[in-house]
Amino acid sequence: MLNQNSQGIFFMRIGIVLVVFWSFYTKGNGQSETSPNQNKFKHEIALNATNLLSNLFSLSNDNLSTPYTFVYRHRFTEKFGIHFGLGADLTREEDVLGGSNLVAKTVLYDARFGIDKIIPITNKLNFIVGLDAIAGNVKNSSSSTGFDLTTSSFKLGGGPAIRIQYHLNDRVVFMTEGLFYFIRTKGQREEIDPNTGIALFTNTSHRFTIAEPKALFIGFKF
Amino acid sequence: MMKMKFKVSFWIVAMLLFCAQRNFAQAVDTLTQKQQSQDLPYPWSKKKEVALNVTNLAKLFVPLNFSNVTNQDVILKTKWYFKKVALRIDFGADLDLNDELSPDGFYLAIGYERRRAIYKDKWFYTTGWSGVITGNENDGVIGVLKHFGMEYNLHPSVTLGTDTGLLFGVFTDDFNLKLVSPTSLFLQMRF
Repeated sequence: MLNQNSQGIFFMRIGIVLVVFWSFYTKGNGQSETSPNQNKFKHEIALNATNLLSNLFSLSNDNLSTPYTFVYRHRFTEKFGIHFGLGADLTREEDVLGGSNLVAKTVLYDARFGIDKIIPITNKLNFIVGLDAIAGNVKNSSSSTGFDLTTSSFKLGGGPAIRIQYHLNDRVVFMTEGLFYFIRTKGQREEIDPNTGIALFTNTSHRFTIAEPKALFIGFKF
Repeated sequence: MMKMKFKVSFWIVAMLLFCAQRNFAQAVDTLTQKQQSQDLPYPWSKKKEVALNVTNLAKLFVPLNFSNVTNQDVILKTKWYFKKVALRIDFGADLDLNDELSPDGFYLAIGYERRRAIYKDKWFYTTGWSGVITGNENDGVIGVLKHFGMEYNLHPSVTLGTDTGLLFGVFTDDFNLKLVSPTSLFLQMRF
């Protein structure tokens, strides 16, 4: 049964790939003289579709992505624009039945803002050099029968970014990015023990990272 | 079943590459024609090139590829072409900048490169020399790299390429020689 299922998934993925292939092929065949008008629309909303597409195309379980799920981009002129990115996660778990009364919460958000200089490479492809500022916060807390543990970290930073943007047509855009970020992270850990009281630890770290392209965004212009 | 899966995935990858190539090739567009109007020995003369390492991203979209995400030393390559020769800088870094500078990964190579056509303005090879400093938590290398690259033109301004090389220098303590195998795929843009 399992084997039949995996065969079904396999053939479904092949089908999807073939449909994509066919749509690209017919597009190349039929519209060779037309190219997308990149300047027709000024607004763009993009979503991180890395995991969606990788799940469709590949059987690999690797999860390679960035925290910014949602991106809004605005182009002021042909060669200058701004963008705003946001990612958030909020979870709460309770384990009352286990007898421990364990409550665990995670609050996470990441935001970034940046300016873009757009360099057209072809009529469909843009190279974008940008400068980003980022901020983010993660807070994990768990409590059980009087014991509390909270860890949190706040990060602030920024740096240059390089983006590659491919226009499928006037409205649909694919984009990926390489990031060169300096990040300062301030972390805090608070432990509450009914017997010993409160213990607080803090630390600060600085990091410079060059991140390879990890995400594929699908954008829609309007 | 596995044999069939392999065959199918091979043909799918071949079709996707063909498709990408076709989509780019039909776009020898007005912008590119404008850029190529100067009288220079090669289309890449007096141009800047930027390449991003897309190995792990590409891996996610290849059907039936089970290999894991790998650490990449070089994330960014930049090339400034003069008439025939380019100044080339390869760079990658993941640095913890606390009390003690501890690189989880660092790579810097500065050198020169030449490019020659192999087949029909589609396939090219590059070669050159670079000085390299690289290191991580455990070891480091200062040396010289003779690098060779292979590139495929999806479009006159867009290239897919990979690199190999012969690195010789001081490896932490000892003088050594290492053949760097091609493990990375770069998407390169020229402007």
